[in-house]
Amino acid sequence: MHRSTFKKFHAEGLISDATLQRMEAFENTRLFSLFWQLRTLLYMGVLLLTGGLGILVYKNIDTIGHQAVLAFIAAVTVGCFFYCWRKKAPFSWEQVPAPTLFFDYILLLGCLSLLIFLGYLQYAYDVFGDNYGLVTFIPMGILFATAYLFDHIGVLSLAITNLAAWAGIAITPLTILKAGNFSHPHLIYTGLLLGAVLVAAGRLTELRRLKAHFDTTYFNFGVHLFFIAALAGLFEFHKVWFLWFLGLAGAALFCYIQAMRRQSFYFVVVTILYAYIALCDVVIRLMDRLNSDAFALLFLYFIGSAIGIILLLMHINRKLKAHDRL
Amino acid sequence: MIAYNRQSLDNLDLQQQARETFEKGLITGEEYDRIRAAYPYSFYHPDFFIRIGLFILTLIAAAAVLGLFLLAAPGAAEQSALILGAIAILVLELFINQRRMNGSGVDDALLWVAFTLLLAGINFISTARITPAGESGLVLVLALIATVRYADHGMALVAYGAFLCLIFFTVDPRGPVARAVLPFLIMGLSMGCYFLFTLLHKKTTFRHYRSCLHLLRLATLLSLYAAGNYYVVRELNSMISLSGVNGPVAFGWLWWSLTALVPLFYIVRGVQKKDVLWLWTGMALAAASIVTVRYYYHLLPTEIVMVAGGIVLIAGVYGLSRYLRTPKQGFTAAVSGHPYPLADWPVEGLIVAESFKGIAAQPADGGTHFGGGDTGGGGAGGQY
Repeated sequence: MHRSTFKKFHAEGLISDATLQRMEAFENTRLFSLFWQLRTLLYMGVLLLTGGLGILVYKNIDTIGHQAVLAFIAAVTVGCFFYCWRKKAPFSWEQVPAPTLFFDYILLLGCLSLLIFLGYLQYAYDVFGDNYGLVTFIPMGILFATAYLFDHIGVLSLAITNLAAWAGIAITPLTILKAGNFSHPHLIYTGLLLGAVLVAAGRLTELRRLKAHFDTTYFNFGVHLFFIAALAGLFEFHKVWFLWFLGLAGAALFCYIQAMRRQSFYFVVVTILYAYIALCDVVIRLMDRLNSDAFALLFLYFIGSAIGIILLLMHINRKLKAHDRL
Repeated sequence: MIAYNRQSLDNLDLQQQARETFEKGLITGEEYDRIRAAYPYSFYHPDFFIRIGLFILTLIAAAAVLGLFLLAAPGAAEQSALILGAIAILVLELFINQRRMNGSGVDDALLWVAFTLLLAGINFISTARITPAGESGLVLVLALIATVRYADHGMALVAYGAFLCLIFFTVDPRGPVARAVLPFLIMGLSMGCYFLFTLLHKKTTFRHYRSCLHLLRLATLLSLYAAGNYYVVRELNSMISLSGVNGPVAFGWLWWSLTALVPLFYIVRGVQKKDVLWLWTGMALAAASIVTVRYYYHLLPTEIVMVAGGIVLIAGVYGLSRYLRTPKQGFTAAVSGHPYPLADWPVEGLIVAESFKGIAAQPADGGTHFGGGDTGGGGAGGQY
């Protein structure tokens, strides 16, 4: 707040003398914080280091030097986990903030080094043999344990991604959009199941307060995965599209109720947008059946439905904001 | 000039300041409520995600209206652009006036739809061919009007960009001497604009455009750098040169010097003036300069540079944060009162997963191609 503003508020009796003094003291002693700059540089450092190590390992796999590289990565992994183990706060099911600026990034570096190391072990020495499930299961287990032990949302995300890899899909948004190969039914069912499991995990986390702040991450992955798989199913399975639509509508209703309960604008909008895509697909399908040339009708539908959803969103905005100091 | 209710804009600004202070714990809840009661504003300004949803849906509705129009009058495609553009503006003004919309997604979408349609419409009905300079001028005029009327950030950037393009396309055809002067001209203009925007930023008359002007200040810093960046100078030169040759440019040493020194200058000035804008811009452009160097010169294999760079950065941050453990010269490594803008959003997890997907998601079918080429990536993660 600008000095002139809080002087003005004080003059108008909106803030007390004590508050004015507090604010002036704050302004006078305020330091210029390099916190976010340091964090960003640290982030870039971890990014460069792990990326470089990964490429280094890949390129030198067949040379004599690869054992040295392997040893280096193992050293980095052990070093990072050792540092984090020493520095970490006692475990609790509540949120445990990171003890230092470095803690989060060292942990991340350690986990990524571990993944490179394990992957390398499997590739070079075939440690896990033909048991490909184990290749992803073990890192996944370690990552989940790490995320909970050290309270790190980023590592949790890595763990969930590994879970999806274990279940057979690439979970991240860009890959989904780029790959676009959702025609394989197995993938769609896996996506649905995994999405539902993640949402359930989030709900469990929330209800039982098992690191309750992890719930958003679970919901986020779960909701997107589920709906993308459900939409893929709707587009793919022409004969039973109506069943898919009903299922999708039911799921959307569930997510909507949950999102409203949690007063989360983000999840409400995401759910409504996915449901709208499904609705548009169904309407286009129906119109296609009835009359193949009725573009005017189609445009009218879009105008009408868009306005309808706009009004719905405005209503939701009013409703959720009324609850809150926003 | 500005379409929105001025009193409401002022009150909104006061409430935003009060809210930041409340979140820092400097004022009590009751004081915050009293301030909000004393300075009400009546804008329709929904939550950010709702705003995104409204934006998307307005675009859909607008596209459908355009479609209907074209269906109804297939021959009049050219005229309909102008007519629909005008209608969009009318609807926008109506919403701002009647429903008090301000940054509601609907008004953002309508403005952009109107801008695009009017621009296209003018192009369609003009019988003579419009030169690139003329086109830039046209975009500049439209975007400037939009910025002044609606204080739209996007339009402000478009206007500045159009201004630079106008200079470029006006000077460029005038011969090799003019072309040689061009980078210096742009740099000079960027500096001039920076001072202009900074001046206006402080004036009360322009208080409603403060955030637009702040964004424009960033744009001038970027354009100053870009005008001197080796890659930009060389590639633009080869693009516009008549011989089509893609070789080193004259005064290469000058452009390399600028590429290296401008980011350093920004960082130093950012530290001196304790100005975040200069500091962040300098950091980002330093990275851009490194990429520029690596584009032309490969001194070491990429992965070695990455590992070395990573270690240097991590060690550097460690050193700096130890140095700043007690505040020095007004700097500290501890977090300040400002909450990180993305802290409340669930995107953090997605960023991490997205960045590290190459490493994290080993394929379940065996990993015979270990990592391949896509193990690049990093993520922030962590809590705030």
